[in-house]
Amino acid sequence: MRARRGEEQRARDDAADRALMARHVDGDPEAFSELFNRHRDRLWAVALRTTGDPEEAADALQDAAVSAFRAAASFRSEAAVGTWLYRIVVNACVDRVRRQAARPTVRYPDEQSAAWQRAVRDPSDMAENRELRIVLEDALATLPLDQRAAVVAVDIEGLSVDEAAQALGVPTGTVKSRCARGRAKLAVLLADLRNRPAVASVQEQTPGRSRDGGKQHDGGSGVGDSPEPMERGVR
Amino acid sequence: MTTAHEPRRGPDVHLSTEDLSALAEGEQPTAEGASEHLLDCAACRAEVDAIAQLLAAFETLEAPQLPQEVAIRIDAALAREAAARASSPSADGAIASASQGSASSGRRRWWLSRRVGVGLASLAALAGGLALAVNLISSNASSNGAASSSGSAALRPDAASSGPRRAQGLVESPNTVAPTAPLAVWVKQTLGTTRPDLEINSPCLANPAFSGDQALRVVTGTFEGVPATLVIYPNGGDATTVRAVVYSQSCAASNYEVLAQGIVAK
Repeated sequence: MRARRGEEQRARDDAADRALMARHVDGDPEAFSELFNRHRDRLWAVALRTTGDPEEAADALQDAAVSAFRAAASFRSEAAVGTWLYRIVVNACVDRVRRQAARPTVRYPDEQSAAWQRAVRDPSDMAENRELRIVLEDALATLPLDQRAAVVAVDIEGLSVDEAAQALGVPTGTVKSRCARGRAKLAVLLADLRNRPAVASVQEQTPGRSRDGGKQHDGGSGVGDSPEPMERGVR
Repeated sequence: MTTAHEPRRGPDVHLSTEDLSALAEGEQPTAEGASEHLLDCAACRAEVDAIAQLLAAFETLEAPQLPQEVAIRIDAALAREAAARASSPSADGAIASASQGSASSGRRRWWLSRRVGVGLASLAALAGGLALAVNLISSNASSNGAASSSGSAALRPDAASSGPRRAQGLVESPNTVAPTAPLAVWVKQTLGTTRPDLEINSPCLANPAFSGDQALRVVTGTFEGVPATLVIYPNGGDATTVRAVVYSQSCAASNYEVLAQGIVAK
């Protein structure tokens, strides 16, 4: 990830996107689908990681596709089409996550659920990376929404800070500080994971540590023994 | 691991989170004396290392694959949008927006009412694939636990007249459709042709039933520009009318959305 495409390639891609937008606005019934399909894999990744929940992500992506279809006529060319779509997807995700947070029972993805693992697993993945990935995805889901969206945009999707500012609708300084705060929290979680064997033996002697409830201290090597994320339920 | 303090200048104060991030990325920190502080402070060095490791770990993430089921949903949603847009300037605009929810407030309600059933159904569909769609329609799919059975409530024609989780366009008591409406035209066309009483011509529907009544006809075709399946049921004891439901034509369970339905005079 985080691969930044060459400037020329990006310019060519955006020109093609704009041509499709123009055809769509002119009434071509196929053009918008074609446009959206060019971006949908990436937008799915954004939605999945921003919502932290495959169901919400699917709904948000569909919401966003329909919103973008309808809003295309008012698209102005200050940003790339891809960035505009990104922003619509993030807004749809934020809408959904906030609505979900307003409900009494906030459901986070269970990192052991089949749906979540299927959503984040790469079939060709090697086992050690898979555990790291699932822990990372799960840790991401514990970040406050604004920090998560910034980390996803800059660190995972590889947007520049300027692009991320456009996509998220905030100043560049805000993107930087949200990324920095999000990274600091994730770094702690990741360091805990890497140190887990040592940490685990300490935990047995000091069961009082809040996040070591002992639920997953079975010493297994599968994904099930990933650490309970911190701040679960805190937004 | 300690958490760095808020940004302050000077070598004795820990680095700001932003400077820790900047250093981890190999960029210039903003605070004066930050680099000097880093040489002296093991805690800040550990944080910079941890963030650098995190950034390296992000590199190993790959884009998750868009599930086929989600792709189908989006294609269908965009096809409906395109069809609604194509028909909206014409006299059929009202019909199109009523049955396809193109008014934003209607759409919002539709989403709210629909998400529980279809959100869960989409997961179930991820797991069960096409088999689920067939099961749902043949109304014996309650063995998949709470999640998929609430999905089936939204999707099964049998359950269409009860409960709040209805697919788009369903109404409590379907009104009699004007004879010129696209739905009525299609029904007349279908009933007008001499064919066996029950002809199932759909890759998805196995044994559709509505309130216990077996379908009279199942045909596929195009409804307002969208590939669709028309299912005609008896209307209770009324021999002069039929109950007709048009489903969007896709075998994914979550795409079994009702495009139109109503009572049609034979």
